[in-house]
Amino acid sequence: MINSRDLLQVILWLVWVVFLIDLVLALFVFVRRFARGRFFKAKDAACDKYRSAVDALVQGKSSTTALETLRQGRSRPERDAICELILAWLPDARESATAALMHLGYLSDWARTAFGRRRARQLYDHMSSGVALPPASPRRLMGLRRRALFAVPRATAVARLARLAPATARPFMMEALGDPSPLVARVNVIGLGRNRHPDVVPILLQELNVAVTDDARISIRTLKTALARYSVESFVDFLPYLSAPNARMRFLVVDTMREICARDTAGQIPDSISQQVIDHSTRDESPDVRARAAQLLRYLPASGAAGALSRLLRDENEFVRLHAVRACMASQFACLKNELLRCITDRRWRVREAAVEAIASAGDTGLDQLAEQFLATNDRYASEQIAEHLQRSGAMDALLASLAADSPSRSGGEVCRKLHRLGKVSLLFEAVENHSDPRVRERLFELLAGEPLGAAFVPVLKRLSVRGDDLLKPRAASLLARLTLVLQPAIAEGRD
Amino acid sequence: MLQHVFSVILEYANSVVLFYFIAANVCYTVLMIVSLYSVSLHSRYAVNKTHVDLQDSPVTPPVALIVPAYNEAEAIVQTVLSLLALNYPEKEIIVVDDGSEDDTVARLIARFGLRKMDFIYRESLPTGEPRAFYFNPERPELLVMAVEHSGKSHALNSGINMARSPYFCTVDADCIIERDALLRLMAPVVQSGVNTVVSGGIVRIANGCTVEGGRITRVDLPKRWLERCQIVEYIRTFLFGRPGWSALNASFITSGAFCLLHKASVIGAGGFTAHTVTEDIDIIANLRRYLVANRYSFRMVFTTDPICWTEAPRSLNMLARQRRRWQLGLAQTVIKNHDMIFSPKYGMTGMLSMPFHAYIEAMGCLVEALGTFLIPLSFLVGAVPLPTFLLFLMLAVGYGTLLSIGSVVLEEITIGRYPKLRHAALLLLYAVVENLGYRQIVTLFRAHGVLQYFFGRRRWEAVVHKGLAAEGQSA
Repeated sequence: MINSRDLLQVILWLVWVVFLIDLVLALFVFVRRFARGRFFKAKDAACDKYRSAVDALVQGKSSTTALETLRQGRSRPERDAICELILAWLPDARESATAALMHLGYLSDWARTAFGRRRARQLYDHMSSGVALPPASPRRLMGLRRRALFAVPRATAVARLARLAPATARPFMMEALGDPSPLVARVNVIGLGRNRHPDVVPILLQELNVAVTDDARISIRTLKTALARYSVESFVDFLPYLSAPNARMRFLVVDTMREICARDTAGQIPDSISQQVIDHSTRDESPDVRARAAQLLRYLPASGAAGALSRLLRDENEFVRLHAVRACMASQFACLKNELLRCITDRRWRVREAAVEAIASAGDTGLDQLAEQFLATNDRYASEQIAEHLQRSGAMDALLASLAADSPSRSGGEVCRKLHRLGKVSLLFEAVENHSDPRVRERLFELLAGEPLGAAFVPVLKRLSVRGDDLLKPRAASLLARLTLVLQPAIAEGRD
Repeated sequence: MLQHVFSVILEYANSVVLFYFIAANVCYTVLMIVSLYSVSLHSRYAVNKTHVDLQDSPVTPPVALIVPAYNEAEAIVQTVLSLLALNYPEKEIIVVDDGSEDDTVARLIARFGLRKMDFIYRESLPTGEPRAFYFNPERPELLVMAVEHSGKSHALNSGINMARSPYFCTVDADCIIERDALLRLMAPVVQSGVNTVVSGGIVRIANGCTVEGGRITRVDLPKRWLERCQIVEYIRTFLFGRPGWSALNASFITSGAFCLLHKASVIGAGGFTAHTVTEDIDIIANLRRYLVANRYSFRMVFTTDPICWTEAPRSLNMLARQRRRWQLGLAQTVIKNHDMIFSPKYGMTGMLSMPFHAYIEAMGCLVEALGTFLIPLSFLVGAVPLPTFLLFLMLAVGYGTLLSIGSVVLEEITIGRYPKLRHAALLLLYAVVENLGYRQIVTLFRAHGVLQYFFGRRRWEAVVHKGLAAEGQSA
């Protein structure tokens, strides 16, 4: 049984402990600030001191002297400063910066952190002298190694190794593929993609295959990002996976190939791949594969691809048709123009929208075709989709300006009329009030006055009858009076 | 006899308060340790800047930034400027004006050259037609829509209906988002093998900072004690509460001021609702319920490096409104989802996070408020001797200070945003000051919010903002 005196003692001790911890934490903050302040001051000073030596070393001028100077920097701020100065050269002078890092011992440090002393030595010897690399010994304590606490320093070391010149970095990054930690795997894969080692593609594809079928260390997106950095030349490694048993893998492979084509515009896709895509991927049982294959067709010669694309434009799946329509934006598929126009009346809005954008991408010709289609179609959804595009793209401004032409195109006026009937009146009303060209205002007013008008026009007429120009003021007042009789309730409520 | 009864009641009440004190502080201590571990590791890993690769990666999903706005004329332009400046490959910004009575829309129109247009509106969530759309073809990533005033959840749902992207990010209309914050927020989504449906970021207080062109150009602390206390409080919430739960895979709350969500999942869960006054807490619970019911694999994360700056209340009155609403919303959410409490079906959230938020965060403030009066009363009536009273008071203040100072330490070891030594000293000072009155006042506000729930008052109390500064001035 605890008596009150003992309880008081316990509380007193707790109070002492709590205040002591408070004091320690507060002191920690100040000590850390001071220490970091001193560290960064020393680092800035080291940057100033060693900058010229680093520049000389990386540029190959007075290398021996520069190296000797840099080796004098032994303290942590100096080592950090020198490392950062060299790393800043990496994008432009990768080989010489890598050599500098090697000579100054950074590479060995990072390798030791990532792989342990013994294995780092073996990798270093293999990289520098071509000595055969012995197989890695089985790693112990894999569970612990996977933990972030132990993996983060390895990940940072691997991330730095990955930035080195590809030939130097390669053995270390291949070794890091065996690391059990997802954190290390991620930075490693990102680095592999950035470096674009050709013989790594099969390994990345294998990891991707594991990721789609299993709970993998590396996310699919990370692997895809790395693979997408390669060029069309790597497609030969992708070929076996185009017929992988897993539909998701087939989809990812085709999609990654599409991404590569979008970046590597100069690359030439091998005929074997083209044929495989046209004959098999576009007929795949999975709609996701067919959809991405459709997009891939835009990078193939039209002679083989047009037929497949035409078939995909009539696919039963919405997303396949959508991607096929987008692929038709490529100029070599002008022969599919009529099919594209048909897609404006597709039953799915995404396909309609994509068709409108694909037609509009042909510039003025495309806009003219859209205007024709807009006037010709009775399909309300198609009409609304084209109206949407006319507004969002800014084409309305050109259309309205055309009303002021000495011989205005009939279609410009007709388009405005149809927009009015669809209820897409905001830009029209804004133009009749505020367009900079009085001829546009006048012609638009005549147009609208000839249409059945609703309550939405009343506030515009009111403003025009008060603030409009001399030409429109009386007309607006007259029209307002006529409309008032017809629309009395709406006017009373002041509704737009 | 009466005195005896009173003493017994007092003794039992004190026991409840003491039990709550021990339970709450044990939980906070565990959270702090877990957060210390995960936050420090994350900040060490973040130096590798793996998020930078997302900038030109083909797999980085487009994001719709949805900004519901009601009477935010003072702040909205700066917010939109900060969103337009975001370093992200593909984004759309949708400002949803919720029937503002000031010139929120007019300021956007004037600043961004917007024009009224008539767009197609497709409802995935039932909202009704918007009143108007405003758009500029030369700035296609920005869309402003005006809807009938129906509350924030309705505005968010309207924004979701217009969004084209597979993910959307809710952003409060008085926030400034750091340039690479969206990349950092998206990083856990892209880098995970499991569908990440929610990714939350940190909210910091911009009071005292200089805002220019939608960016925080100088970080400083505000001059008023009330705002300084809130800064310490926000650091504590965002650096050790939420990372701790995220590390335990038990996220329950992410701030709606800056939160990334998976659109299809939110639509499947029915979107934002007006069932509570804190739609951001409610949506997380609804999402979890929906995903568990449909047996989807998912995770919800909180990351400590993407940062959103917001304006904190500058007066006690506004602070009271804010905290009452938050507490009312939390109470509404936990009671609405009471079946999740101790439910193994919901994993660590059901077994740990929900009970914690229900009993300690939501209802616990009633016990805390009771203790604020009870402990001194017990001393005054002689039920608690002076030494015990003083020691308990010192322990309560000391332990609260420990948690606050612990969060200042976390701020130090993460991407610390307060550069000067003076800032560190002030934060430590206010980590103490916060526990000498401010916390007690906020506890009373929170208790009031919970009592509002039990007395059936459910209205949204608007907090009036002064705005995150005109250009070049301090916020």
